[in-house]
Amino acid sequence: MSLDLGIKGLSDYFPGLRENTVNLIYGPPGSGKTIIGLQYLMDGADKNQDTLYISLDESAYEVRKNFENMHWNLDIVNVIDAVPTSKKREIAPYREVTQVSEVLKMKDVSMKYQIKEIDVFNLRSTLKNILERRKFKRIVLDSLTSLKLFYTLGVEVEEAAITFVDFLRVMEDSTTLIIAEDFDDLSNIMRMMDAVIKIEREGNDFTLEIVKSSYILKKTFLPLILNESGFMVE
Amino acid sequence: MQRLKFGIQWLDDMFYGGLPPNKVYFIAGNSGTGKTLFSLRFLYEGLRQGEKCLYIATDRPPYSILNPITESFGWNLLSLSVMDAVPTPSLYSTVYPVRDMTAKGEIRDVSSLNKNIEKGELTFESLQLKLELEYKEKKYDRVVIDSFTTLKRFGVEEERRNPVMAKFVRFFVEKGSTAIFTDEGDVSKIRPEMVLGGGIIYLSRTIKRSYDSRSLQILKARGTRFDPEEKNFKISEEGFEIVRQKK
Repeated sequence: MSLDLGIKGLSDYFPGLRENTVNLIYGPPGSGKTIIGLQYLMDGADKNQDTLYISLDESAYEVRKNFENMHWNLDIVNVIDAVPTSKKREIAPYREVTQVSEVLKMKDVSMKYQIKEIDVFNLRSTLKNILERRKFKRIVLDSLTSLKLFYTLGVEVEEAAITFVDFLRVMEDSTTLIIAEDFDDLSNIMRMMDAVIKIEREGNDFTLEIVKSSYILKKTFLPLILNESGFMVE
Repeated sequence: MQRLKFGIQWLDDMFYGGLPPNKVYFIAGNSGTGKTLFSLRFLYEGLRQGEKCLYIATDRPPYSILNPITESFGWNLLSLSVMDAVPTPSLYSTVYPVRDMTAKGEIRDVSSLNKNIEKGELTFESLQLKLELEYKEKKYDRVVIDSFTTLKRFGVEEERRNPVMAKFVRFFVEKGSTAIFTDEGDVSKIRPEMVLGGGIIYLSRTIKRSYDSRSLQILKARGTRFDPEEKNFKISEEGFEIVRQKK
C-alpha cells in the first residue's frame, strides 16, 4: 500500500509514499516544498486519516495565513507548533524533558499559544509522548534544516538529526515526509529514506524528480504546474 | 490581505502588490548593491502612508546615511524614528567581541540627530530589550536593521548565533511589525536567514569600465505569489527604474 502525495496526475507515474516509511523532499528556498507537504496531509485528511504537521520554520498560525489565498481546506489537519516565542529572551541549552506543545487542529491555531523553549530533545520527547497515545497516518516535518539550525544548541548537529529521523522511522503506523533545504548536507539522511523527491524551480517552471524510490518507475522527472489548488502534473 | 509597498511599482508588482505584512525580510547582496537604499525607500513609503517607521543603523551613524539620501532623492524622512547602534571603533579590539558592540540605543527623531554618541552595550538580547521598552510607547509598522551583518558579527557568540537570530526574528513577527534586515554577502553566507526570512531579495551589481549593471531577484517569498525572474534596474534622481532586457 502507498499513500498519494495529493498532486493531481502524479499517481500515473509515482504510486506515492510506501506505508510505514520515512521519505524526504528537498529543494531550494521558494520552490514549494511546504505546499507539497501540506497537499500530502490534506489528501490524507480527505480520506479521513489522522494527519500531523510539525511546524518548525514558521508558527502554525503564520503557515495557515500564508496559504489563506489557496483554494484549500487546512482546517482539520493537525499541527504541532514548535516555534518558540521571543518572549523568553535568554537562550541556553535546554535539557528538560517535559511535553512542550500540544496537537491542535489547524483551524484553532493562534499566536497566543506559543511555547517558551524547545530543542531537538524535548521536541522528540513531546512527539514520543503524543505518538504513544495517538496514531497519525501521515506526518510532515517542516523542516529538517530548521531542526538542525535552530534546535541543536550545544549538541552534535548531524548526530541529533540522524537520531531524530530514526525516531520518526521507528514510529509504527505513520508514513512521514521530511522537508529540507537543498543547501543542507543530506547525504546521511538520504540513506535512511524509502523515497527521496527533489523539487526545483526555474522562473515559474517547477519540476519534480524522484531521486530515490523502492518502486520501479516509468518516469522520474516531471514538470509541475502551480495554481490556487496547489501543484499538479503538467 | 493588506500588503506593504515599497512605492516602486515594478518591485511591488514582483510581489503581486507588495510584501505580506508581519514578517521579516532580508535584502542581501554585496557592498554597494543598493541594500540601504531599497530598505530606506521601504521606510519612506511607510511614512507616506502615515505608518510608524524605525531605522536602526549599526554600520555608520544614521545622519551620515540619511542626510545624503534625503538630499539626493528629496525624500522627506523627518518623521522617521532612528536608533544609532553603531559600535565605537576603539572597542572593536577588546577580547570579548560580544560585549564590544556599543550604542546609545536610544530612539530619536531624525531631526534631533547629532554626532555625540554615548556608550552602551548592544547585543541581540539587549537590543530586543530596548525595543520591547520602546514598543510599550510606540508600535512600529515598519522597521529596518541596517546592517544585520554587523549585529550577527558582534551581537552574539557564534555557537548561539542561529537560535538567537531565530528568536530575534520572532520578536518582530509577534509585535506585528514588518521588518527588513540588510545582509551582506552572497547567498551561501545567509543560509539560516534563507529559512528564517518571510522573503529574500537578492541584489547584485557588475561594474566594468563604463558598464554598470544592477539587478534584483526575489529568491523566496512566503504567503504570496512572486515573480522569480532577475530584473535589471537603474538608480537615478527619480529613484529606481527598471531596465527592459533585450532578448
